[in-house]
Amino acid sequence: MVKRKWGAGQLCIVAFLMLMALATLFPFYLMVVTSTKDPMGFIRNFWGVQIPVVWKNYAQAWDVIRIYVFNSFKVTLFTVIGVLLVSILAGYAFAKLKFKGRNFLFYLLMMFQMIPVSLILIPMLINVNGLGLNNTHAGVILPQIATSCIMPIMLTRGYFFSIPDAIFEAARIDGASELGIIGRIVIPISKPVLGSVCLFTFFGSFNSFMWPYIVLSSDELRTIPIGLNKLVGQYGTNYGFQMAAYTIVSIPLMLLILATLRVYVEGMNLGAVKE
Amino acid sequence: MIALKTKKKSGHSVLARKQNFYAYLFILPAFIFLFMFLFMPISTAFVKSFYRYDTMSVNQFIGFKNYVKLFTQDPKFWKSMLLLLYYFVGLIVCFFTQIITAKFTQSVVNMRLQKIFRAAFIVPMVVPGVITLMMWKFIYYPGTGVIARIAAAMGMAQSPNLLGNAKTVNAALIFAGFPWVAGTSFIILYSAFQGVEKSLTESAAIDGATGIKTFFLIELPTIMPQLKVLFVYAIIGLVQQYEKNLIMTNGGPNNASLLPGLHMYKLAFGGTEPQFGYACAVCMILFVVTMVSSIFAMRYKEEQNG
Repeated sequence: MVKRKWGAGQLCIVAFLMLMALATLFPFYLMVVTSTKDPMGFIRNFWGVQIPVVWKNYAQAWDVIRIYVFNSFKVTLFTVIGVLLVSILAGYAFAKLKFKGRNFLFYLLMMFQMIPVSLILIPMLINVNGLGLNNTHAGVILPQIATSCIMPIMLTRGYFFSIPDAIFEAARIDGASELGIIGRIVIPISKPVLGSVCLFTFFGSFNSFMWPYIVLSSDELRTIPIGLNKLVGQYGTNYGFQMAAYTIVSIPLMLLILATLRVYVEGMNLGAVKE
Repeated sequence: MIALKTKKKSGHSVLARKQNFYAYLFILPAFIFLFMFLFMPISTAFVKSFYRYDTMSVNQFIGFKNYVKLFTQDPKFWKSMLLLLYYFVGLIVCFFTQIITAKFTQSVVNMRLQKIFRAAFIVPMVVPGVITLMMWKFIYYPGTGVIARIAAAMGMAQSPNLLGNAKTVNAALIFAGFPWVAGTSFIILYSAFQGVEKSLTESAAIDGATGIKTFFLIELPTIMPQLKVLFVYAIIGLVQQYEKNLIMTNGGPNNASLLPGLHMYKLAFGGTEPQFGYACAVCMILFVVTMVSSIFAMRYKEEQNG
């Protein structure tokens, strides 16, 4: 074992990383400090926090974005449930059931993964129009399930694959149906991977911009990213208000990822390296 | 004996048929979704690329006219394709920064500190992209933004308007998001460096190899498969990228930051007269470009797995 010690090299590395981390977090520092100011405070004191903090910014911002937050949670909840259902079922079938054309269909699935989603939004809108789902939440949710379910299927398939076959055979001999096996055996022992799937889908859906932006035209249906994008024009140069809205949205998301960092990173590696 | 054999065989085939049935039932929802919202749009794009189509009143078959127009009378499109090359250079810079940061984070000896850095680079990536982009726009604002303040402190008489100037807009757009670390590729690179066998790097260190030498001769070759995949995906992402430019500049000033994807978007939604058919033709061309890159990505991936 060569023991690495704190030397000049380590100091340089840590100093470099400090700079990078500060630069990465700087916009969020600016966001939070600006959210504490009224327009006068913004002119007088750009870099720091205004004391006393103008809490009114937060109250006003919450009033405006409340509906967008609600819409986002609604859309995200249905997307996550949809992706979970689709990926548990398909992952189980691909991992543990033998059927004709399994390899071919799995290959087909991987082909679908290559379709560049942000390029096909315009024809997708034509289709969603045709289904009569334009300017509805279903018009956001259903395509979003389709575009975000492939990686989860790969993840669940990989995970289910590692469950010993003997468990399933024993359950089948005891007369359990396939759905019963999924509900009683597969889901309870697959919590880590299902947690990753939930997290990826949650963040992906909550933060998605382009597709909801194209589909939703009524203000009362807008999700958070679009609502925030609209704030700028409407409220002009009241930066405190604008930044308060950004802060209300960002901080809970950042805390959520901090709390679930391990699951998130592990899931990411499963998806990226193994498949 | 014979009876036993047939019984076993038929029992097996019942089970197999039952499994077949459930398997198809279970994969059906996935394929319905994929068919409806991935396959259908591509087909629609292909069909409508031969039409003059505005989703409301006009829907007329015009053969290859959209493609002919695209290849012969659309300088905006070709300018935007050239602009991709400029962004490609930016992409390479971002990529190197990510590799270096991932490697450095992984080589911090103090585990606590390493975890803090890792969190600092991962956490910002879950903030909605809109917010990060808006913050960068805020940083660039002429007069009140951070850049303007730095310029004023350095004694520049005129406040720079980086996003409003055709010469600087693309550099400013690429720079936005500096140091470009927060992202999935950081996690993948970091884990890749962690996965390099300790025994390899340690024996190199015993043989007297410096850290830099070990990095180039052992670690980089070891993680090359992941690097290739990430790089190809980054290129695919670049061809598709238009959200950033839409939010920050809307392709302006005077189309100076119009990327191909944004050109397509504005054909459909930008003007007074929506040109969905023509946008679909642009979509098909970009689709072919990304598919070709994806096939390369798949080949690298197979190398990586095999």
